[in-house]
Amino acid sequence: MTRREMVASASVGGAVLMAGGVGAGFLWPRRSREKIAVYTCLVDEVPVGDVKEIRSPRGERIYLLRTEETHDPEHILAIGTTCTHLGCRVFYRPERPEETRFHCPCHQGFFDQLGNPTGGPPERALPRYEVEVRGQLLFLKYNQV
Amino acid sequence: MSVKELFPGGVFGRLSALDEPLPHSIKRWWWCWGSLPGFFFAIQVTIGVLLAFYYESSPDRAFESVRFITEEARYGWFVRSLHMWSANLMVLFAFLHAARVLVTGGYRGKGRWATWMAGMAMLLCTLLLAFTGYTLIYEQLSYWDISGTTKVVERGTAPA
Repeated sequence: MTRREMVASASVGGAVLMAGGVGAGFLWPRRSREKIAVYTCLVDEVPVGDVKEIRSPRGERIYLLRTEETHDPEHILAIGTTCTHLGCRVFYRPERPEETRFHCPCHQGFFDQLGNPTGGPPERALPRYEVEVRGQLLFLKYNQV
Repeated sequence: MSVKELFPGGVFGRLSALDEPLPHSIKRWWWCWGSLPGFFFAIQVTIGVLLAFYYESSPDRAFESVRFITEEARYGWFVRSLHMWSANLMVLFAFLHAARVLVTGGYRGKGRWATWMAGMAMLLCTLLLAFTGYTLIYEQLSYWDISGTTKVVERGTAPA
């Protein structure tokens, strides 16, 4: 084998190995990882009857709201703002009844205060994020990437 | 000059089917635009099979499965980006090749019209494939893509 042949074969072999590695890695099932809790704000900063808009570490918009004036995580909601119909942004409408609090203007989709679909084309609930309260501090849990 | 002389050794050197003398014209670099869509098509098929392991083709699961591929599957973002860029480049080089054939008069000559028509049919198939690929994601852009195109087909004019 000449030096030129060796370089050509090594280049092609290397490229095939890399492509195979990416392909195998892509198909290999991932183990589910523990979620990461990220400090978000003070619990008292989350309004009752309105929403506080924050961004996740990956830049997704999230609405924080409390259904009662309490520190109980059961009553603190973190709801994604992306409509489950076709990905538009949903808006919080405090003046509307509880069943249609979240409104997607693109195709008139409605969700209740918990993010469940109540009208229009959306069939799935808005994404919900797990909430953790440590004293006065509010943490949201995100999937690791 | 043959392919074997251009790429001595390795895989190319061992493929005797490729060991044909090349005409002088093909030594110009823009003559390779014709084979590039084929190369990208091979990439599309290979990566498409990989993506099909995760993709779900139902209206309520399509977007979520694409999100899973992009954000959670290992190298998913990379595989999907390759698919997207390969599709774009396939369309680009199909057009460039058609333009090259048109400008250099490659469609003239005995029997060349059939080659030209076959090429046009393949260009149309490429555009249709690109369109269907665009709609698979099932997001807002896909929705308006389908809406606009179906209106154009229905009315025979561009949507107002």
